[in-house]
Amino acid sequence: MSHPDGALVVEGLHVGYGEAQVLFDVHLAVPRGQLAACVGRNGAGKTTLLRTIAGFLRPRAGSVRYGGVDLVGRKPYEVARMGIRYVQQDKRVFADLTVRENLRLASYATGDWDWDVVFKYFPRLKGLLDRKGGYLSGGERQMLMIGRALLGRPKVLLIDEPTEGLAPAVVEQLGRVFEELKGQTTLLMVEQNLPLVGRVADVVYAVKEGRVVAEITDPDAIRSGAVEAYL
Amino acid sequence: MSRRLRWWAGILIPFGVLAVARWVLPLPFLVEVLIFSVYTMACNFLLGRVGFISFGQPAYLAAGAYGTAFYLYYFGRDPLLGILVGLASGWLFSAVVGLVFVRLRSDYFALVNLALAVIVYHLMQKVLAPITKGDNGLWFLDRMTSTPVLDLTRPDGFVWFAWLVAVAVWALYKALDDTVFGACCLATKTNEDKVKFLGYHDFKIRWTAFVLANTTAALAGSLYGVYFGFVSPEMASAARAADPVVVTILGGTGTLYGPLVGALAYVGMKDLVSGVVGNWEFFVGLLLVVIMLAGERGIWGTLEPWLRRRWAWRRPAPALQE
Repeated sequence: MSHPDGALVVEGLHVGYGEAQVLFDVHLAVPRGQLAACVGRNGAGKTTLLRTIAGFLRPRAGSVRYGGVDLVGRKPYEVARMGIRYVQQDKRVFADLTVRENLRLASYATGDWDWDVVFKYFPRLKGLLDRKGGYLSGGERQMLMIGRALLGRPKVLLIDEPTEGLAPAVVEQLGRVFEELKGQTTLLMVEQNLPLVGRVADVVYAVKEGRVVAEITDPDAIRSGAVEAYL
Repeated sequence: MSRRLRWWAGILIPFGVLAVARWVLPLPFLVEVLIFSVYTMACNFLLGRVGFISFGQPAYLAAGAYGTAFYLYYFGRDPLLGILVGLASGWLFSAVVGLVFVRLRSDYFALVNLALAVIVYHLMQKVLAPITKGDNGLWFLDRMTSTPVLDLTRPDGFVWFAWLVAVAVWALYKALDDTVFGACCLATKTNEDKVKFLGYHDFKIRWTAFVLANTTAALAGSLYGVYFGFVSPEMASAARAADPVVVTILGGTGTLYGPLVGALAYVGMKDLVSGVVGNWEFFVGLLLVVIMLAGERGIWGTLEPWLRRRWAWRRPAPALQE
């Protein structure tokens, strides 16, 4: 498969935990500045895919390339330093640290101390700078996690189920943020909220039992939720 | 009060009280509280900031003590230089050991450190007996020469030196709390994976914290060595492995004043209660059980919120801001 303009390319990926294989021959490509969404039922292997790209799991076979550079075998912190940030599903920030300290950690790691970009997308965080992460709501924690990942102008954002368990107003806000981020950053998002996917995604991959069973690029098909037929 | 002034007041007030106590409390008691608080600060940092529980602190204490003792017994006579040698040997020892140990977490880390204390004890008592003099230990009290300004060979000079060291170590850990490294340590304790995803080398963070804390423990060992002019394998005894952990919990894990309060309570009970009844450890154990049942926050951890509330009540309410 050739993707000359692909920022993030996954080819022939086989991943497993011990003897249990989770991903089978996964191929996908996210063109630079676009948002790709992986959808699928629980246990389909979506999170495993993101964890493998982020360097947390070593695949049995296949490659993960970003800008032509193979990411397989690199440590998670090396992948992060290449500008590929992973926002986990668990919505757990550093509970003992304040919002300010959480942002400072990201700033120090990236050398980017300009927090305006964070406050531009999530102005609410500005008023919570001295609040400990443990005292934030689920939506605020998600804002902080994404905001933290935005520091250093990431080249790729891997986001795992960002809207899970959040209030509709927060989901709406995150949807707007993703739409604004497209064009500046390449996004690969795992999401089960199909209306949101239909609104923001440029390409949708349906993942079923560890395999990519469909790649939908037609905007009308994405908007109409055609992916549901494959799940 | 400006922020900087409050920062220094936070150090100078408690240690100022201790300095005044020099004329009230018995000198050996004060010296032990000061050295034990330095020893406990290391454990407090490991446990409260990085999430490492170590039952091997006597090994690092002994590394510093024997480094100082070897220098003062075989090579030189200057106690200040002896302390520097002890500090260096503690740093080297923990730097090498840390390369392996910090790969482990939780109970494995605790037990491998306990095993290290047993090994160090055995090395000092048997294997290296020709140079450590085994159970007889190394005596060098009469070999040490007087030092200028504060004479470390005299208890009334040493107590001020120990006070200065305790203030410096305490200021270091207080300053670390406000640094990115301090935040990294706390983040590692909370969620190691997320630290990696931010682009940090988690191993380096844990190793640096481990070496820093155990070099502090070695510094406490050096101070003990110079104060007593004597070092024996008992210093590395696994029977005393839980002491710094107990004092850390007693004072309040992860709190800045915890090590000082814990050391005061522990040494105080040891000295006061042991004067009345023989089994003072029974009362320390009882107090620990009560503290755990009261909320697992230790003496300072329980007092601090109450004091903060009192302080906030006395201060005028801040003006509301938009």
